[in-house]
Order: sequence, then C-alpha cells, then structure tokens
Amino acid sequence: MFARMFEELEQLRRSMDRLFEQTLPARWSAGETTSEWCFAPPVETGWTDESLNLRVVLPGVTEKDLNLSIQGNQLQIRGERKAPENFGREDAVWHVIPYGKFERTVDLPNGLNLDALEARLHDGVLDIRIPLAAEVKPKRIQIQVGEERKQLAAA
Amino acid sequence: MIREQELDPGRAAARRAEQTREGPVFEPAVDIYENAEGLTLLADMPGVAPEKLTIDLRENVLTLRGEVTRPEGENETDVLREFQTGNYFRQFTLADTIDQSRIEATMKDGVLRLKLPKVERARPRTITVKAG
Repeated sequence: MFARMFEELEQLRRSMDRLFEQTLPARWSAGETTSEWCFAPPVETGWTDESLNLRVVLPGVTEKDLNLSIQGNQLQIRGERKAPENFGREDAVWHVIPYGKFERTVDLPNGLNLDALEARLHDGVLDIRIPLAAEVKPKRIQIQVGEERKQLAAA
Repeated sequence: MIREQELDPGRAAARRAEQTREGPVFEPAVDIYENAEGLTLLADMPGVAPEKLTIDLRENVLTLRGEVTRPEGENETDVLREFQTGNYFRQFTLADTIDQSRIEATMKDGVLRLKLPKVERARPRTITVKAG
C-alpha cells in the first residue's frame, strides 16, 4: 500500500522534473548567455560498510563528453548531452528530453579515500564508488562474556 | 501516426501482472522526430542494458519494456534517492502509415532509438506536371 503510494509520488515528481527541464532551459536559452548550463542530472547515493556509492543518471552521454573532478570535498560532474544527429528541433513532434550542458556538484563527507575513487559509465548511468578511509570503516568489537568480567571486577 | 496508448485501469492491472520483478515502474521520457522517411523515437532508459530491453508489437500497439539492472550494492543504506531505480514501461499505438515490418531498434548509452519508417504511399511525393 505504502509502496504503491511512494511509487505514484515518485512518478509525479519525475513528471514535474520533466516539466521543469522542458520549460526552464527554453526560457534561459532565449537570448541569455549568463547561464551556460541547461540541466542538473539526478544523483542516487548509497552507503555500504566499504564505500560511498553514487549513481549519476546520464542517458545519451558518452565518456568523451563527461568530465569528473574533485576540488576540496566537492565532486563535480560536468558535461554535455549532445542532441541527436540528423534531427533538428523543427522535426520534433514530441520533445521532452533535455539536451545541452549539464553540471552537478556533490558535497562529499569526510572520511573517504578520494584517491581510490572509481568511476564507470554504462548504459547511461555513471557509477562512482569511493572507498571509506581505513580509520572510519566499521569495526567489530569483541564482547567478553559476563563471567569473565565479574572475575575482572573482583580482582 | 503514433500516439500514446491510453492506460485504462484494466490495462494497468494487466501490466502489473505481466511484471516478473517487484518494484516501481516508470515511463521513459520520449522524443519523437518526423521526416519524409518516417518517425524516429528516442526513449531515455538509463540503467537498462540492451539485452534487458524488450520491444513488442501486436495489434498496432508497440510496447517498450526495460529492466534496470540493480546496482551491486543491494545492502546499501540509502542516503539520497533523487532517482529511484525501477523498470520502464511505455506503450504507443501505431497508425497504418507505419511500415511495421521495417521497424529498427538500437540501444546505446541508455537511450533507445526506434526507427519507424512510413509505408511508401504515406511518403510525400512531388508530382511532376507535364506541359500539355
């Protein structure tokens, strides 16, 4: 029941996003050169015991049009989604997919081993894996049995 | 020539029943271009590998279905989910002016490109007027 509700909410949010992507860049591009970028790709983030994983949704983007950089604790994803060749806007009977330059900056938390960052682009998703620094990885703490502790207390 | 299939409740239930995997279903964003030769449909299906995409055509209804390969980390703790992984589903009804035997599909970088050629008689022609 709740899952269905979230699904519908997510669906709604996506269509709202699409609506914004559709309307905003069009307005900005109307003779404006101040804002160069057109859209910010969505990012999904998840933690495991080993790493922080980020997935940047970039359909239609090739590796050569993608630039990934780290400055301080900020990860910056920039690039361009090229409009399909052989087609112009005038040929479009239905147009919702955003094309153009994109930029996304993610603030990274402390405790990551940024030198060991791995990134892979596949099927329109950029998979980024940043391992946790050794000192922040969760440690299992050995628990002593009750009896022994009593003896220790008595000693 | 191509129009979005209306999803009535019965059909929605059927599509849920057809799903083999649990999880949400999303409609891919689609662009459609037209020229003299035919229509080209582009659908964003990020996370769908070419072998996980099925395109089905029956009774003039074109069905796109893409299964997202879930990231390796099933035991991840979610921090931020702007993009929820799920499967894609979208249907279109094709007009008779589309040559259904010559539809071509390619999948690259998470984008599906469907070429829907027009049948000969639907293509624009220039008729030469002979001087009488």
